[in-house]
Amino acid sequence: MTKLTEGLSKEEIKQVRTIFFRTFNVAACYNHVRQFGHGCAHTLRKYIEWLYPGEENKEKRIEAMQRESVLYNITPFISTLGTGLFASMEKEVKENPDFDPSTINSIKVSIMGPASGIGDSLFWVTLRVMCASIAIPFALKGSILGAIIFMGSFDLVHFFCKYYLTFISYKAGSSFIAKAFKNGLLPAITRAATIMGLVMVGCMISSTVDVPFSLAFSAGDTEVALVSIFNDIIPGLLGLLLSLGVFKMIRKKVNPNLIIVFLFVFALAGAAIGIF
Amino acid sequence: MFLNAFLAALTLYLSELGSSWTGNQMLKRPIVVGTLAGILLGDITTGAIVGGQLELLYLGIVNVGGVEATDACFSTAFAAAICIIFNYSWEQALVIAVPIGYLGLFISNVRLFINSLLVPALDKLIAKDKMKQFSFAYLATPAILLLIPATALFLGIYIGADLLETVIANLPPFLSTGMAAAGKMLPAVGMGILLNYIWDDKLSIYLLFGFAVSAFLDVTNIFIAILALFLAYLDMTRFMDRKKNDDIIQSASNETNNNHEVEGFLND
Repeated sequence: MTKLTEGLSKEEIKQVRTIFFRTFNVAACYNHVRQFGHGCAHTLRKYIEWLYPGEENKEKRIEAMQRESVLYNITPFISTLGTGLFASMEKEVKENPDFDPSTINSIKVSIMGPASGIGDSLFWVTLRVMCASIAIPFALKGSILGAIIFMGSFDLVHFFCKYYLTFISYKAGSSFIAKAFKNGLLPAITRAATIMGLVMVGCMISSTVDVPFSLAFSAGDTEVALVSIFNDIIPGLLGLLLSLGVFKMIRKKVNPNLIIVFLFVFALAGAAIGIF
Repeated sequence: MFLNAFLAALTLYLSELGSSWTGNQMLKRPIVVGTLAGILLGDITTGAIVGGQLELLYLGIVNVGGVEATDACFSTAFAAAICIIFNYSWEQALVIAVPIGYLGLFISNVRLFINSLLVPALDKLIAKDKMKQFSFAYLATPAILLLIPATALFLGIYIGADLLETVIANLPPFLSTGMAAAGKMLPAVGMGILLNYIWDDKLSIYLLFGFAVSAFLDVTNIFIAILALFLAYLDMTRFMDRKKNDDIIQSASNETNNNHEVEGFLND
């Protein structure tokens, strides 16, 4: 822990911790216009007020807050990766007159995508599925332990990452992103996260998606169920094909809600004519 | 009934608000919502079982990047509440709760739309240097707007209770088969959304790997996650090494162009 806060003054450590705590609110006002934009401003409010206190710095304070509320979106579990970084850049804006403040928003836009890609793969897909797999059997037995284990195990990793990332990104500053790109660390982490994500999605497709056809036809004397033919080749093959089909459609910018409506109609119509 | 409907709405409200204020959407997952409904309505066992079953069903439903396939939280709060209040089995509740999830998604989208309309007001507070008021308004917004889905759920259970009973009693059998089929196919949409976020053509083979391991071997998801961890680590170290080698070759060849003496070293 001493290493983590090394090189920061006591007051600064307190401020960075404040960023950590305020980051929990980052998703409170999610909307389609700014996403977490105002959340980012809210997270950094205390820090910005610390940088620019009093009536005489009013203009700069407003400017900084406006700069931070433009647009922000990241997997909330690792949001301190961004907010810690932006705080250190705000400090640089104050201390170094040559530093162009518009860099902050271009850095913001450039890290949002890759960071969320890593965060979604690691937290939403991998960690969540692991925690749910441990917790669900307890819940199915009717025990309150299911929910407690689920939240507890998830938050253990979540809080740990969030706290460390605050200090790491704050101390590393903007040079960190450039360095991480240059020495290949960021692409490597992205690859690793993507691999874990894809493996887990494949596993989830196999365990949750199914096309339950109950069509049967006679082959000689015996009735053969259509779905068992597929399942004898590869279990859950239809679910995989359906998932990949939906993915292709979403990629072609088909509205997911439209696909949902279609599947619903298909399921009800199919049940009415007896193919399910 | 008034109290029960109120407690069901409170479950939804607390889960949604908790998730908004703590930035932790796991509080909105069925396993947590179902258990919370059980605590508030006084039947933890039923709540936890419904939550666990719906968590299994909605395992593939995630809301990354603001695109949701259904509102699992709304659906679970409703399902757990009617299971506890009316003594339905979770299978019976599912027939109504799955479509209710889509209604919930619609209501959520209305809420997000209103939220977008409030953006200029928050901007104005910042521009006037009313920072404390800004933070307060920022945190108060979800607390107010989430009353919309909570009220909808309350009315649905309070007014719709009788209707619900007739509907569940008189469902044509094909409808419940159809809903069950839809429940099994719809996670594909969640998977599609996820894949759209993390897809990489060169790495797509790993999707098939995860699928194949899960489909052919009788192993737990945790085992597969650990396998994935190993694979990711191997790939990452290999990728870094390759990058390092490339850099060495690059810098060496740069030097070669400048200084011919280095050539002997490279030929070794």
